[in-house]
Amino acid sequence: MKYYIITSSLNVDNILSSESISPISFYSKRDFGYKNFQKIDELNVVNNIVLFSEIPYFEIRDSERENHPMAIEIDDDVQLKDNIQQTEQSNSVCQIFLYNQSIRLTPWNCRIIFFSQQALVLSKLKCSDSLCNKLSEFYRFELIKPKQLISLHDVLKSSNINESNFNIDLLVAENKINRLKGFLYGYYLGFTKSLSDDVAKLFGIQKKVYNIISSIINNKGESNERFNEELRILENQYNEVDPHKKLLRNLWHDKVLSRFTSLEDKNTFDAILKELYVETEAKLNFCKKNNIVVRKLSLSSINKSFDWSAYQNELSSYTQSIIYEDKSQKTDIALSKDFSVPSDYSTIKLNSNNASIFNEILSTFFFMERVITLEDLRLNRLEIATDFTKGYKAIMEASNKDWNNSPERLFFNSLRQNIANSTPFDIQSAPDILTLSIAAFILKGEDFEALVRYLAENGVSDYKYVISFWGAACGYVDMPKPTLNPIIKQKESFINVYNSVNSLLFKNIIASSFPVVSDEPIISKAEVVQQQVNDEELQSANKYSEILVSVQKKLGKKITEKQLTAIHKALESASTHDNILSCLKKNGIKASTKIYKEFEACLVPFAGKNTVIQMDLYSSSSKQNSAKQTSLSFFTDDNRLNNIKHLISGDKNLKQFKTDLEWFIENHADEYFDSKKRISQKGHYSGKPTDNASILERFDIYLRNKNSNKLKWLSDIYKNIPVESIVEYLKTIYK
Amino acid sequence: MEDEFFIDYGKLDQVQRHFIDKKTNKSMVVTGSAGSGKSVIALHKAKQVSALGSYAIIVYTKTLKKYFSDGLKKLGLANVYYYNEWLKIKPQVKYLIVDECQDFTAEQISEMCNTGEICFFFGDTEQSIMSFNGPLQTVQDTANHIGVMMEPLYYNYRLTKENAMLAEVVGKVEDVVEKCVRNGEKPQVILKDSVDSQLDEIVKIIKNKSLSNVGILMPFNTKKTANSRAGNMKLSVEYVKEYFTQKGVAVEFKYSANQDTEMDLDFHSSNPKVMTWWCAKGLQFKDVFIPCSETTYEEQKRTAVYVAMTRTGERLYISYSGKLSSFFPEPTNGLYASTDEIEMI
Repeated sequence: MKYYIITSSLNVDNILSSESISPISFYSKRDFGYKNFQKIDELNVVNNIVLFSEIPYFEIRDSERENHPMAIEIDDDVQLKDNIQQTEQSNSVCQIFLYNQSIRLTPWNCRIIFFSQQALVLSKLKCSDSLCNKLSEFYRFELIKPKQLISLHDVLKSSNINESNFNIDLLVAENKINRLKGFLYGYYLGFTKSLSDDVAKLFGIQKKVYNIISSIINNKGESNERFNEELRILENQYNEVDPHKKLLRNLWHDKVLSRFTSLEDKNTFDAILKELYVETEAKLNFCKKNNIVVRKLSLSSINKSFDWSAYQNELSSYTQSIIYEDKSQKTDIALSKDFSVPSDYSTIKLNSNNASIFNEILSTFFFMERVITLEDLRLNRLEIATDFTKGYKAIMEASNKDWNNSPERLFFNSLRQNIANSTPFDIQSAPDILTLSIAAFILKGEDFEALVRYLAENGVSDYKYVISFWGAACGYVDMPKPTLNPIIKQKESFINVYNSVNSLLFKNIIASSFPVVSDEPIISKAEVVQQQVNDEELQSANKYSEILVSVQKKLGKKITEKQLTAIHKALESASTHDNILSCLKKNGIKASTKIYKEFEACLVPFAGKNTVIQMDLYSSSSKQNSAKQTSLSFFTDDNRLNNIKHLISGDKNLKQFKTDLEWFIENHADEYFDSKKRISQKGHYSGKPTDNASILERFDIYLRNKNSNKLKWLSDIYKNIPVESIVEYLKTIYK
Repeated sequence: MEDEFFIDYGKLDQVQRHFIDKKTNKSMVVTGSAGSGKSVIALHKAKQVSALGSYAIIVYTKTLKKYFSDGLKKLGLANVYYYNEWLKIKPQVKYLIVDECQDFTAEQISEMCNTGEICFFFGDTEQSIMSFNGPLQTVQDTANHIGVMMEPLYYNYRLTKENAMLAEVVGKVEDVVEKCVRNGEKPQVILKDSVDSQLDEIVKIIKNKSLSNVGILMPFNTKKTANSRAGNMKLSVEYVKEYFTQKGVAVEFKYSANQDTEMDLDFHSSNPKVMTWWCAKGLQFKDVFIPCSETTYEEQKRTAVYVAMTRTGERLYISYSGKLSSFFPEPTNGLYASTDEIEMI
């Protein structure tokens, strides 16, 4: 059966960030999320959740705030059936029910319903800006016109509401569940961020290099011998642990050097390659043939004109691609198998023979005896470090292990000294991953970004324990959306995690995939409510002035009257971003002009989700934003150049690359407008497949051909463009 | 840093929530001290109005614009200008949002009002330190100019009470502590033999505690200016930069509040950022070091020192050689942290 809860749109973020709705008295007493709830006047005195069998009509009069009627449709008999209580009433059209505990809301069991488009749009915006609202994009937002015949006032008048009392045990359970959920998502997040040992070291080195080079760039590219020397050392360390270089060394040895019988001959061969200045080329070609991507730039020739940005960017993107490869080799974990939770939610246990100390730590510091929060940690760091030290000592002694001569004793006391007096502390001197994780959590745990940066800079490989501690201390509801987004965005694996957590905590599995949610607000079969809002606020303000403003910002008064007329015509006739660019060309603004390029750049920010909301308010048509993709397409992604700009150094090279990229993409259309010849002709790649794999392969060939082009000026430019790195990097983005 | 630009609606106080939920059909002027959440609210109002009509956001400096750039991308906001940039085009928009409005003159405010149908101004008169272009307009006067009531954001969510207690004394400002919501560590006072030793100690603390969000704030830009105005070239960003660089310590620096300088800071690196007290305005760091606090400055620098101290969200370090400046309470004062002896467990 479907039930309806009516409330204010001011509560939308409250409800969706906690993924639940609760009796009013819960809010001020719970440990997480909002501590209050906006009531509607007619239900001001009711504490329990009031549910209706139909949506009653009601209004909210609030001249100051964006405060609009909202309803939640819930369809979850399994959850509600045992505790829902029907009230006595004489109105048979709309029945009223009461519920005295929280209702869990999932993307499958509910819809969020509004009576006006303004309310829907502003609510969606609020959810998208909200730090803690993690899953709002999966919930269905709908517009509906409620039946005015069923007035809330009349329905309430004809019923007798007898509420049951507030049950503190239910609230205590909710607090525990929130921490358990936080722990589980933290553990999984830690799993996704973990790396193999070598790659963790690689990442740590790259971070150090990044910092040094940022300092050099900030100083107008002026380095000194100390920085140069440190960078060379770091580069050597990097090359030692670079898995691609390791593979290359082994392959070179197996396929090339092994052909020589003596060491002397091997050395002679290497020397000859160097002497003829072909060593680099030979090895690069060898890499290509064996599908190994290595970095091209090195610090061997640092001089005054050394391109620090290019080196820094190449190292960053190369490291990211290795991290991506490393992570893709991991087998997923199953939280529901790895953990068990007792029915009273008092703690959680990792089901492993080696996890007894870990489980003790969890019980003692996060779930049962002492419950650490992030604020606690920030304010009482030394005290918490001391408690952990004493706790660990007690655990060791209870297992008949010697504390006094143990490395654990040295480690924890060194940690305490560091906190109290800023003495040196080496996290990598930890005896094992658990003690390392405890120390890292204590030092940086209240700030997730600082914690992850600390782990990366120190070359830590296993993040599971430390981030699970962070998750437990933070709780699920207060986990920031940006932190969880990397796992939420991987929808297929996230649904498994979501189900694992539900299975562990609520003994149910929801579904195999998230509901399909259009960016368009769904208009139900009932009449669409007419907007009764001030048209001045929501009129179809076209984006013309914004786009032109942005272009003018760059070009100032360089736009002529004639060009302005052409732009006006183009913007008035175009309805999508691709259209605008095509209309500009048709109206005489060539693709090679600064104006065109600026329009192109300005249109890129509008390729995101919020643009769809804005477009809805502006246009009466309901076109899907074609830039919104569930998975990225190289062919349609307007942001493709921005993704790889950092790999190309020099304005001239970038400009040429951009021109060639545009030509490449545009020539996949059936018709291509050649602005030089001023004619339309068949696209060079018309009819060819545009899936990522095919188009990137074609793009690779297209770019390589530039390198060997008979026009010397063009091939010279492409000698400085790292085509291979670009294509490899694109493959990691456009899968 | 990404988290800073989203709003934790659940933790907002009533007044902050009022601004977020407020209808956007008329102009408003909002005042609030450093750390009251003005700038985040300004960005979110911009986000709301971006769905309703054309808009422009003006921040005072290029550094501020860069500091916000990540957040702006996350929020999908594009029309952000620093003032000198805005001057070149002055777009006519339905909504104009101005942050740090206390740094503009009456003429500049008037000019901005002429380009926006509905204007939202955010500022704090007590942080008005950019008076080199002429007398500035207070936030109250801006409210009077537009014909609206000035609405205050009362609480301070950045500054801790412990740091506020010291800032109140140094800045001779009232009610700072009362507005603070968070507790934290007491400020540390560090005594060393010389400026160079102070800088060495700063590096040691940053390294040993792995601090990744640090501001080192100095009174002067260049050695020449420091020498001519205070007789000590070491009181400058330039000197600190040279000292650290020759020691192989990676830092980033910004010389002046001039909006068009090329010295851009990389907020993705964990390098300490060295800049003047003025340049730091509008920014925030987890840890702020204010070296050379033995210097006696003229009274009109008091506000600038106060603003510098209030850049910290967590820890404040005041270092000096010889005798601590009269701006600060004595080193034995209970406002400062004391060193603890730790017993081995």
